[in-house]
Amino acid sequence: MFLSNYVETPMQLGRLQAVLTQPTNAGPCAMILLNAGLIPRSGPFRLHTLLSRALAQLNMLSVRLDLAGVGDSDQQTIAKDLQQTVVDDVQQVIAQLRTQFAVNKIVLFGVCTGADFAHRIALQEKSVIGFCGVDGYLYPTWRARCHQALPVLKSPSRLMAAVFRRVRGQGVVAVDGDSGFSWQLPPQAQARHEYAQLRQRHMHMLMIFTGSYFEYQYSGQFRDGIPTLRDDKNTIEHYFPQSDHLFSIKADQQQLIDHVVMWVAAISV
Amino acid sequence: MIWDTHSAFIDSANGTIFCTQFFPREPQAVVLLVPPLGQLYYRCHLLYRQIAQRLAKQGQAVYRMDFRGTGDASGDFEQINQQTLIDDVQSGYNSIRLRFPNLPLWIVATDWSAVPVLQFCAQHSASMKLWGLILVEPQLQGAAYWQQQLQWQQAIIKEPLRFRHPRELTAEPDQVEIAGHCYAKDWITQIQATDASSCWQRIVTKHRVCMASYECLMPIKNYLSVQANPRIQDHCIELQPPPAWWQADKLDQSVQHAQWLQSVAELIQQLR
Repeated sequence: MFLSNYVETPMQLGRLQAVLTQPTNAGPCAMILLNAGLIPRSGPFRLHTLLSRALAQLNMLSVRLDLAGVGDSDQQTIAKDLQQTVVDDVQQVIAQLRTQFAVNKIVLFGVCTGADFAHRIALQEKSVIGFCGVDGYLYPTWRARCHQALPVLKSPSRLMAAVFRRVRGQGVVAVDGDSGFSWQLPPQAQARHEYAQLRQRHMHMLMIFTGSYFEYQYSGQFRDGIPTLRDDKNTIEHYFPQSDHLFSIKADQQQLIDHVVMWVAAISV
Repeated sequence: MIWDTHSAFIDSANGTIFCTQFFPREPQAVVLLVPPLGQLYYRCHLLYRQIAQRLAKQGQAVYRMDFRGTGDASGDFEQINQQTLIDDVQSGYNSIRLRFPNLPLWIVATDWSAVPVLQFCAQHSASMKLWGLILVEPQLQGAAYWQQQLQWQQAIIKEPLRFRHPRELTAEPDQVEIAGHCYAKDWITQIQATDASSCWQRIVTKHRVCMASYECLMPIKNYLSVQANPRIQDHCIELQPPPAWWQADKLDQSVQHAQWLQSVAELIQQLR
């Protein structure tokens, strides 16, 4: 696909396993790709491997990281809060990149739980200048509720079914907590506060939503849910209605890679 | 930790395979884990790591490899064909034999990856030092395997929870896309023409072969009943099938899963 101007090497930091993609003339900005749930570091349908190699064409160093307990990395031995463990582990990787490759700017990329982790890390780590989250935090808005309700209201049978479900208490979807890798949407007030903090730091945010994310009802819903970001020029929101959550179609994967590479090229200057 | 984990890129013909190695202090045997292709790669990755750790804990060195064009290895999936797969198994084998020339070696393969493993073993049957194979749900008939892949793709495309809008695939004219992976048409022709049962028959008399298979997909009895020769049956051991790959995210909690890992580890230990 590309002329190879990069070298890939395995990287080990304690229990963490990663692969470093190092272009010939690497700049001071690097991307860390976080696991999507329990999918290993090569990413869903090899998305992370392909994205790393596309970033190398921009002379950008990247690390595909297996978080503790995922892919080839061992589980943590001491019981600790999962999110704080992830933040600590990624900070360890960032410190290594700083020492070994003089990297001073970090961009994060994550799909699903990866987007959740990217948000958490960006809040705590000052060298993070931007993050791209795919199907990350999203809050319902009145417009989204209208979009959802309209087809139900138009169809008597769907309306009856909805009422019946509500009466029987089946309308609430339980969060799957079995695997320990599902994430809980923080309260909206907390998210607003956190995004305000990120905005103050001029954080670049690329928020991508796919067609599989059924709560996402219209283009621009993310910004409407977080009004503090409405006029933030560093926040970009994209909607890929045709794509599925894990980009299982090659053309969708390429579209995502193109968008991310273009965005990174603009912010890493 | 009583084993060390290392990763390495290993040269293969026109590229590199990726290998994660789990080394105990004094290994008594070596196991090469060959992953399945396509979507199953992601689904069984966790299980492979857990098998690797379990085996390393009981004193076996383990190599978990990625074929070229998959996982972290070099190249693109579009460039794979049956010969590159065989070459990559050979690279994994050579790398092991370079480091551990005399230790007993087991190879574990799943789904379609059983075919290049069998083909490699059959080609080098006389010279190679192999103790046995564990084949999990092996696909020996290429035409049936390909048919299954096409059906799978059709099912994925129509999944209403996956796609909000109906989709059409637009792969290159010389490729067919299955679950995010583009198969080159030349390779598809090779797959469809493959019948690995002859390879299996050749190596089963020489090496110990253990198979785990889902009853619904590929009854293990089929393999055995094809062979009237009782000697072959002596060499083949039926293994409890693993838990469903699609429950991979809950495998940590699964008792069935733990039992399966235990049975694989015990089997290798006993047969040594």
